Amino acid sequence: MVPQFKAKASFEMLQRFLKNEPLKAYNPKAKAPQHVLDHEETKVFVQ
Amino acid sequence: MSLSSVEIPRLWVGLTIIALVLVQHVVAQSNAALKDLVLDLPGWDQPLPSRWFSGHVSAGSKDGKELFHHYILIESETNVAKAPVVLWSNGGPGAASIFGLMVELGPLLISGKSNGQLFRNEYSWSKEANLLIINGPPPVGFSYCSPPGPAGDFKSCGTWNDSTTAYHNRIAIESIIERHPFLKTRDWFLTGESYAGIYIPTLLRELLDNGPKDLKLRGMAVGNACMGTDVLCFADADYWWRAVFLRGHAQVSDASFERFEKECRASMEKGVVTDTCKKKATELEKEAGAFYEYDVFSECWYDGDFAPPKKLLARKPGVFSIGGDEFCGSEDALTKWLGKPVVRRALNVALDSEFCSGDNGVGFKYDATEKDLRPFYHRLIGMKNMRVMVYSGDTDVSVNVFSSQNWTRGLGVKEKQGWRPWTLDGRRAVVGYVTQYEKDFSFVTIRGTFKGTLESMHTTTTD
Repeated sequence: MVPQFKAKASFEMLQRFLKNEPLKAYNPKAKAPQHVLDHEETKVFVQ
Repeated sequence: MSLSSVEIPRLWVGLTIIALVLVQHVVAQSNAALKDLVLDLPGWDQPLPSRWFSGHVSAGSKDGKELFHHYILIESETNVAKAPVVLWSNGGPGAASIFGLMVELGPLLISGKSNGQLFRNEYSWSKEANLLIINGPPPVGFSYCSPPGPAGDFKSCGTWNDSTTAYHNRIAIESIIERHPFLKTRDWFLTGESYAGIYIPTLLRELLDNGPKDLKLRGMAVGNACMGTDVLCFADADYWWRAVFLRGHAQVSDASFERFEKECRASMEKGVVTDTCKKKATELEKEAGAFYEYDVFSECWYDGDFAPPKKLLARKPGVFSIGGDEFCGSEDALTKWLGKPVVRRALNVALDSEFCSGDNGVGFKYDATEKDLRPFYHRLIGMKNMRVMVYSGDTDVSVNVFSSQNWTRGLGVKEKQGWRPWTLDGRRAVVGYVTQYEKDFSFVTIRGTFKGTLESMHTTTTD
């Protein structure tokens, strides 16, 4: 059993900070990604 | 003649370095720096993602002892010709920054469940910057003073405080730059977490006031950051903010919190905490039962056993008591790994070195002397070419998101854009919140994290 660190958010935060760019905004009108619509998330989880 | 298991990784490293030189993707390093080159790391049988340097530099002298800081520099994996420097520090006081490097944000990590092996972090901060850690003050980590030398124990370097720590950290930085001159041409960003909320701003102040005038200091980012004994960490106000956190995370009943608030809030907001209110705060915490100080939702604090570890029981109980089996056993795994002679040889550390790492000053002599860093924040915010970010993982109890939001807001800097969600993809998957102030100052939260650098283990662990 190997812990999977999901450090993606902190890395994103650091990148934006170093480049002096705003963090990506929330878009309430955005559609769910296609892989979610296709239930790919569920497949990954089952693996 | 066949190659041994030790020679094969070294051959890989040699070939990789030659290849990188041929395509001009490495920076020139001095002969002194190359003596610190890490050729391979036990537990990782592939070439290192980029060059590592590990060694000791002079940090001046104190109380008749010569001080030597242990540092690790990892060259950027991308854009090495221009990449900035990110200096990282853990807190404590007394925590070794190699913990952050090897458990939180470096290119190769170790965990309680990786069986002594290292594994790749695809989100390593070294993908964006030259990553530098210092372990200070001596004898934290593999740093030491002489006499007695590397084998000295946690109290071997005498008493420290916030000022002496900043002073000698600054000298260590200057020594590192002397050994790696290319660092002086890069933009510098100082980062850290928890008690590094004191270490980092005081080091930055020391560098601004007494460091090299041509050093390109460009920013500071601190997570779940202490602010001084009058404000946050070893401060009376901590009692209030812990109570607010526990109520805000549904760990105590509304009724109990309201009774506590009614009796104690007014005085606490003035920074006065009576003995009665301290007692009531302790009683309120009992209602929450057991929880891990740095991640209230952690399910692996005691590794399946809800009885506190013996080393926790041996410590003086108080607001800043800390659980033992941090990060699901990663601290123990790291300590075991660092105890191996092959690892010490790889890191250019004496085999008989004492590895010292603690928390809250427990184990060595440290006086928290910085009372209030807010005036320094006012000085920093608005400086030309200087960015300041305060971030907060929102499951950390000890230096929590409510207190951090309170003092950042209280600085009185004009908001440029109020509290808003932020995402990784610009869509709907919110990972935290950001308040952007004017003058390149921001407050950022990350959902479901402790200290803001890793997401909670129990939500990210798979079989």
